[in-house]
Amino acid sequence: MASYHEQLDHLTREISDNFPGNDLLTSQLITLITTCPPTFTYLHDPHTPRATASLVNTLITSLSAIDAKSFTPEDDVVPIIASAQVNAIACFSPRLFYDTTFNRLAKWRPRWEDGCENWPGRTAVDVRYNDSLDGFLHGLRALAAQLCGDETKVQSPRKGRERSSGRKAVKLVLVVERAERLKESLPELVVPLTRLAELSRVDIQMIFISQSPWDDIKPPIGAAIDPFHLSVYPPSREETLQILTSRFPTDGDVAAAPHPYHPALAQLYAQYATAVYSTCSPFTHDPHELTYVAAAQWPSFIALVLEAQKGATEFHVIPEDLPFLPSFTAALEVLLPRRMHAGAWSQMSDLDEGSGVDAKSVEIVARSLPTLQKYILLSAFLASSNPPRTDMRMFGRSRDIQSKRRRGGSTRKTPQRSASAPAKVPQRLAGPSTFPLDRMNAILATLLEEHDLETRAVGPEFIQPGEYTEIELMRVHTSSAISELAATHLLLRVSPPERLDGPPMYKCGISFDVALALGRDMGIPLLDLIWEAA
Amino acid sequence: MPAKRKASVNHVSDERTPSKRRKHPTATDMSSRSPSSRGEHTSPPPIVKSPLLKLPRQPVSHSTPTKNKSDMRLTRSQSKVSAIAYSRLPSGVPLCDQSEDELALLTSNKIPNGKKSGQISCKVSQLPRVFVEIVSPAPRTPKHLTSRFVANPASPTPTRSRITRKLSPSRPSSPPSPTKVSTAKRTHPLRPIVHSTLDGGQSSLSHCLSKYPPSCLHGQKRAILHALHHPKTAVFNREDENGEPSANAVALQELTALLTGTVERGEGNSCLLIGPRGSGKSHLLEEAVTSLPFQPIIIRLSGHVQHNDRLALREIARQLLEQTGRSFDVESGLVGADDEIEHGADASDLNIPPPSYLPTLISALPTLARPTVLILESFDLFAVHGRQALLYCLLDTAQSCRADKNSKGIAVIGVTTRVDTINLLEKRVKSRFSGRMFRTAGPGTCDDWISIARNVFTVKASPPNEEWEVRWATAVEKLLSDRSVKTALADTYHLAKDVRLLCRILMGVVLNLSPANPLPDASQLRAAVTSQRYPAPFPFLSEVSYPAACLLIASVHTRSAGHESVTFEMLHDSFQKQVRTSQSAPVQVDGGSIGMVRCSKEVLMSAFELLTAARIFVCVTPVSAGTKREFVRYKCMVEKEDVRQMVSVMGQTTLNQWIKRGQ
Repeated sequence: MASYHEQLDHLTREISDNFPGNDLLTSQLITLITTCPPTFTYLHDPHTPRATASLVNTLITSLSAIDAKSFTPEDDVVPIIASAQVNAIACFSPRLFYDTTFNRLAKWRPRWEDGCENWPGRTAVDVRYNDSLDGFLHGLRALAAQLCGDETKVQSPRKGRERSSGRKAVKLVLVVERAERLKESLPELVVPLTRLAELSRVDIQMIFISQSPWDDIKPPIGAAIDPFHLSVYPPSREETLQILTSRFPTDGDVAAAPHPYHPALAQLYAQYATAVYSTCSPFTHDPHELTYVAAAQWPSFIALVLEAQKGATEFHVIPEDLPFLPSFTAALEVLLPRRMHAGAWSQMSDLDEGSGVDAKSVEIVARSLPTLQKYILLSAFLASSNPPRTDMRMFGRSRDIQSKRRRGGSTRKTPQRSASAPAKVPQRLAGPSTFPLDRMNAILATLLEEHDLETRAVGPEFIQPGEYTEIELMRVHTSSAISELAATHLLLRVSPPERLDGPPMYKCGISFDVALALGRDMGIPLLDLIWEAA
Repeated sequence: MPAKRKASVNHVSDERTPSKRRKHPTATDMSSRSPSSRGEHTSPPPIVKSPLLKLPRQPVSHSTPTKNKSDMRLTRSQSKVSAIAYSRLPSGVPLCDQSEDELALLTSNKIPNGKKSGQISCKVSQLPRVFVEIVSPAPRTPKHLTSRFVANPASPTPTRSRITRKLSPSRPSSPPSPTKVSTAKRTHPLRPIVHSTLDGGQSSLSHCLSKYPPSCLHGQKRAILHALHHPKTAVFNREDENGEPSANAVALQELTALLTGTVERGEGNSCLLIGPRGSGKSHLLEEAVTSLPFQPIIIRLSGHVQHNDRLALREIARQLLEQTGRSFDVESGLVGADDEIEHGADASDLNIPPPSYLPTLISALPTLARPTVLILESFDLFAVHGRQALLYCLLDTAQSCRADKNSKGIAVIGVTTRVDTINLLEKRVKSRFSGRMFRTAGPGTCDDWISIARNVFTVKASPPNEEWEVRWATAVEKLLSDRSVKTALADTYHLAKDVRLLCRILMGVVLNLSPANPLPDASQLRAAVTSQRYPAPFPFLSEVSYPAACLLIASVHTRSAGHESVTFEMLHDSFQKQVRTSQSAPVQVDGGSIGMVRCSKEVLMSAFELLTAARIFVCVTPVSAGTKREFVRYKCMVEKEDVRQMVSVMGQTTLNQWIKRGQ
């Protein structure tokens, strides 16, 4: 039988093959876990945290699967390793965290038949280990004692005198992936988790895997101990290509009918992956995303290749006269932001730049609204874009303004901005500002009066200009249209509905482009009405 | 024609690919190995042949043997030829907004002939420098490059040569030299060479050390890692330079005396153990407790775990149960309290008393069968509990403990790093505290650190091998006598005297040892100091994708304009303006624009989300449901200088120009 070190070497090699480019990290982690690990390790991976979490999970699972009992009892090098990997997103409450940890460390699987009971601990005493942090620490001690006890119990039938010397060390490994979430979901657990070994007085190693730096998670008062830092390097080009090509299933039936993942196409897939990488890698380096794009394009791509080479049995080179070349960039632009999922993309026949994408759904919805609601949206957009003090200049149509001109004195000077003051950010970029409902109504009245009056039949009883529009605005259907828009979030209500004092505050929910499109539809020169049209 | 010359500069180094990819042949690189493309410098681009069509069987091979002279002349430059050539499509090609790599995938029959191809060849003949630049092998000296390019007026030398030199540090292929490491920027730490522990290295060092079995190194590593777990064996408990006992030795002596008084004579004692982090408080306490003639009941509490007195009380009861095997009220015989205890809120079989019985529980501690030692870690945090009730009761009990036959002793030991802890106590609590404070201290001088490192490194490995030990000891002596190592350790020591930091640094050194590189050297230790003492907050910044780099540059410019917080819309607007500016030059090279690559808003947004996840952009305002995500205010945590460094390492001319001259 292979020695323990040979098994570790074999494991290192295996994991390095499955996770290309992580040889150093793998060997470091194996050395640490199997010898004397630091009590707290921080694994910082800003680029591929999912892949790293998967690597660590494979590693600790394999290490804990090594049967320590099969080695000689005198060889105290071989520890009993119990490991658990916990996702801080899934375990959003302390109790979930404790239970998941215990179940995984003890390899306990809740079963329906048993009432989905969690790891019961010492069954003799009915103690709960998931009620508080104290309970958790007691549970860890009980678990370590149980693992130790199991081991000695197994060894005890023979050679009873050598029991005490043959007792092996138990090492617990607890990995928290997405550890940055602990800061928000379980802030009170961060410090105790970093000091878990000294608090529980058990040989337990804590590993945090996170995308953000430790300084970001670190509690402010220096209560947590500093971790042993490990950084994960982003995959290089060759490693990424290796990951891409390794996704092609190699265990298919060679004699099967041609299909996209036929083993004969493996070599072709490698070339295809290279092409995908060279096109898409400037935009994303994540192997997962590249694999996603490659997988979405591959079936339609290979279908054309197979069609062009009917009857061929081996495919090494993509034929020259292929009438089709996939638009990788178009696929990337649709698939990277997940505007469409890979299945839908691969089924699209024409690949014409993602025409079926629902990116403009807001515009489509907005343009299909009734006329009054379009006016309301436009006036909301104007109210959100323009500063309130400019309303009179932009929309004022009364003669009073001209007669209100000041007399005497010097000409008004615009206040000079000091050189150090930053330029104002255009409202279009800073986001819509809030406005009271009254202000929007006033702008709405101006718009309706100027652009919509001729479409209405104004009764002879309205003598004053604007009187008809004013009465129209007071009608219930205007208010209901505003409520309806707020319900669809094309208009955002900012003030809480229960507030009674003051007018309700709103914010525009449509973007600049949608507003421009609406303005074009309605024949309103929107750019003339925006204070900062640039 | 300054504009044109500038344009050609842009074009020559306008590979949108990150710098690291220059070193590797890409798919398009392979295509240039086709016979039709060899040696045709002035012909229209050969690369328009699909790369997929001409791939050799072994796609990634740097040393493809060549058969004739022209092949040999082109071999090293093939990647650059292709990098240029793929953009030689006329702008009228329908797929004009696709990436240039993709254009290279077009088959040759898609290239329109006639007028446009004529333009291409014309432009090519006008810019022969492009090819001169491209075919020049990378490892030329800068001087050579300069002289070569100065001879030709349209040469884009300066940018090119600079970039070529800066490309190398991103992925070193050899161990970093000492000077390189010391000047390495924090934003892109060097990747250590991966010496596989399996296949073994081919270096001369490994050659001469290959006679040692790997078990020597394994054993040594194991012994060192084990020693690092107990660094107190190194220098604690010894006399200092003046011959006086060290602070820790004094503290241990006094603490042992105090505990002995409690255990043997039944005294009620209280004390504080104060010392900086990593000065050995817990070790010292453990040592004192284990040296007692018989084991008392030890109750350990921590301010980080027991946030209030209720939790602390439960924990005391639980630990009493564990150590005495009996429930508290049974042992203490508290008559009359049983009913309430049983009806307590969380009463399990532990019989946790309610808070109103706190004084009775604590005051019953001296009546137990054995003396009790209460260890309060992070003692200062207990002082913020409501009314300091627990501390009051504990200290009151300790103070009023009478040494007689019926009662055993009690000791309350607070462990803390805060020197002003005594001031946190209320007057009534302080008056019950004995006022005894023992202080611990870490290593007094930097030489102590060196000796700790020496002690740790020279631990005997379990399978003894004399030759290996001699070799190892020589390497360790050489390492520790290295001046740069001493400087690095001294710098670290003067910043933080925590021995645990030293242990982490040494651990980093030991972990990087491999059969191919079995002996520690100074560069490894310096790298470990960097990575453990001040790990880069954003390592590998130069590895970010093109959209992310654009966002970072845009945020730098926005900050320069006086806006500390940015929205995604602002960054996107800045990016679009820059793309428009860079593409507005009426210059085309081979039918393609020389400006920055367009990028859709959605792709930019996904890059922005990645940066947000990596905490490079941090939200500064509370996000409400009504705020759209493109208008949420963020702050860029990367400094301007780091972004500059990132761009220069990435080596894309357009980005370089943007960060230097952009708005």
